[in-house]
Amino acid sequence: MNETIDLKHIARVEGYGRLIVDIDNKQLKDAKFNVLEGARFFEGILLGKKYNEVPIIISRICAICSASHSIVSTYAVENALSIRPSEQTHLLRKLLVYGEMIESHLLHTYYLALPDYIRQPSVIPLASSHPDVVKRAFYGHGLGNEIQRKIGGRAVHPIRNVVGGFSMFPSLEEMESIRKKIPLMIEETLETIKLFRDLPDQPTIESKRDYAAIWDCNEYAYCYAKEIAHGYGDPFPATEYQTHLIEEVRPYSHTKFSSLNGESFMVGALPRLNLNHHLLTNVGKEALELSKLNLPDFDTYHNNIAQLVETVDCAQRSIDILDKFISDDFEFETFDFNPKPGNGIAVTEAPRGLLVHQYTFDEDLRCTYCDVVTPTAYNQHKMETDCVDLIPRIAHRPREDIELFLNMLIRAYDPCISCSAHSVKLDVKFV
Amino acid sequence: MSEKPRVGIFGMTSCYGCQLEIINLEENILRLLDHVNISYWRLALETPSDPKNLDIAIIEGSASNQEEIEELREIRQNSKIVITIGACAALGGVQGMRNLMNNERVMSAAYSNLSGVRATEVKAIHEVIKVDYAVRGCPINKEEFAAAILHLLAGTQPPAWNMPVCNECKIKGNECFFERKKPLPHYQSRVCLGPISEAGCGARCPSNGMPCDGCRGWTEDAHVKQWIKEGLERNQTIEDLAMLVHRYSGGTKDSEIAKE
Ligand code: SF4
Ligand code: SF4
Ligand code: SF4
Repeated sequence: MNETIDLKHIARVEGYGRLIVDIDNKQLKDAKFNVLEGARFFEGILLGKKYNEVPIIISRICAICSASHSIVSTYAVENALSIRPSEQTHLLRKLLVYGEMIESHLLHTYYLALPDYIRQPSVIPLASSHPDVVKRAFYGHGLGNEIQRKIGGRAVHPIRNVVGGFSMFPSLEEMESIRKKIPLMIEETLETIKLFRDLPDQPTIESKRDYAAIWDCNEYAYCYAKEIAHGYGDPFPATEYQTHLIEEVRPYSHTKFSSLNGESFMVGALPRLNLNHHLLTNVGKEALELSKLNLPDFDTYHNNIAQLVETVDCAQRSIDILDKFISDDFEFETFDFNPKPGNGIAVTEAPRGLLVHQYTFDEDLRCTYCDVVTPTAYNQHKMETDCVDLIPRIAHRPREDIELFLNMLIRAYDPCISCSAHSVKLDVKFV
Repeated sequence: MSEKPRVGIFGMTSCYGCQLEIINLEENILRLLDHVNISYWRLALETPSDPKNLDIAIIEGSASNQEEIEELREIRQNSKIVITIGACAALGGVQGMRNLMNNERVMSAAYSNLSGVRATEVKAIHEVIKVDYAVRGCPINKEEFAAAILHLLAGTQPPAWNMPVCNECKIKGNECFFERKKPLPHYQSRVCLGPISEAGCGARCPSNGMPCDGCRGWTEDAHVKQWIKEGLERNQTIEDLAMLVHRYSGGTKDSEIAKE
């Protein structure tokens, strides 16, 4: 029996994507994930723009990763123009990214993923069936936004992070007020880890493929590092991303496929945790233990719970930075610099995985080249190969289950399709 | 339940930031849900959901390809009131800058092979269908959005600001970028769009140490040419100034200024 499952709109993801799976006699014949978002051509729009305009414009690629885009963009511009930001700037950027991780991870786990796990169409019915959980969601998600607002000046598309440093600083009271709210959020997120862990009858998948994340041997890198690590080999310098993470165009689709050593690979919270778990904060380790994840873990569905573990870890790291700032050494810095033309590459982690920016600036400090590779562009190939691994496990189940589990699989990546649409080739065929 | 007005939320070409600002309302969403039924919202609801017979359609993003133009026409037919959220929808958004640049060059910088790319000129939504109200900003301000919805439900017109960002900036007591004695640091543009940009954001950017770059669009009586003249006096090139005044508004007819 030949069956085609066509998930026309994958709902509850950021963006417009479609999955087509062909099953022949309980065997998977073909799986294609298509991006249907409108293209926005950022690489082209930036041509001729002054270096200081670049981060402002490019953060508009994606709202939910806007802090990561803004930050990796400022780092790439700084690398290109030989600008060295201060230690405090690095810390403020980390804090901003922790806020983004918390906000994005909790948005995804509570609002977009959890409804599947309790078999509800959306989070709205949960407001009456699980009011305590929804309350936790509002509190934690809102707090992630508040961190971004107080550090970056706005929850979406931060204003204060600029080339060279920050255009404005949080006040002591602002830092204290966020600091006070974090412990409750940690406690509540630990509860939610138990909830996700114990939900019965959930799909699983074992896809032993490679995974990658930025790498710093001294710390769990969420925000900017000089190397990229992966599961089956040595770390390589971030500047060599184009030689290791190969993007190719396939004739049957206009989408680019990424591979590492000839295979699909995953980026995101689970890969980060697989590579960095020994570098978690103590509270993060507690969360990991509670999650009962057995690392390295190859079950894509576990990306959800890995996000919750990271949420706890990022919350603790926010406390650590805020305490340091509050206790003594926060400075209101002024800065200026002497930019020189050149090329710069920077890599970071967006909540949903590895994110790369590269720019070249001419004598007039105008952008002549730009390359941005987003996590969902890296993950797309793996989404398809995961279907190959999943279908034999679930092919005997009723069609509704197969559709649900496929939807859940794609959602587990927390794909940001609007992000990936800036660069991938779009499929013109509408069957 | 069924008597509550039906609302649909739609995304065209965008970054999802304005829809995200709706989610960022947190528990206030529940209050909004006391008044409306959200019957279509791909970002938050599982399919199938129902985009027909809407009282209010909320549209984010610009029209950038043929499918979107068709979808917009359907939305208009299916909805009593159409409002847009954000600069992409009201002005074209940052992606609209490609209308003002060499389009071929812009597109080939992003895609080595253009044969499969379905892209038309970037258009603000009101250039395609009739729009009843626009919530401005990149991103929108969530409180302003909620207030606008409550107004529309009550049958009243949401307020118009009709004043420049400068007014709000002065109330905030910010030091004006045009009046600084010291040379500005490198990371800031040399000019601020506050004098010609519509208020309502609380002068958000100048209050965070950066000049306004006009995400809410121009005021009705904006003296754009006068502003450009002042910019030229500050050693800016005409090309840079034209791109800056249209950073968010390349998708509207106003963009003729850039071509002059
Ligand atoms: S207006 Fe700005 S925040 Fe809103 S969707 Fe467009 S780019 Fe995103
Ligand atoms: S908005 Fe800009 S131009 Fe207007 S007063 Fe403020 S800083 Fe000056
Ligand atoms: S200050 Fe200008 S750019 Fe900033 S939010 Fe307000 S209108 Fe938009």
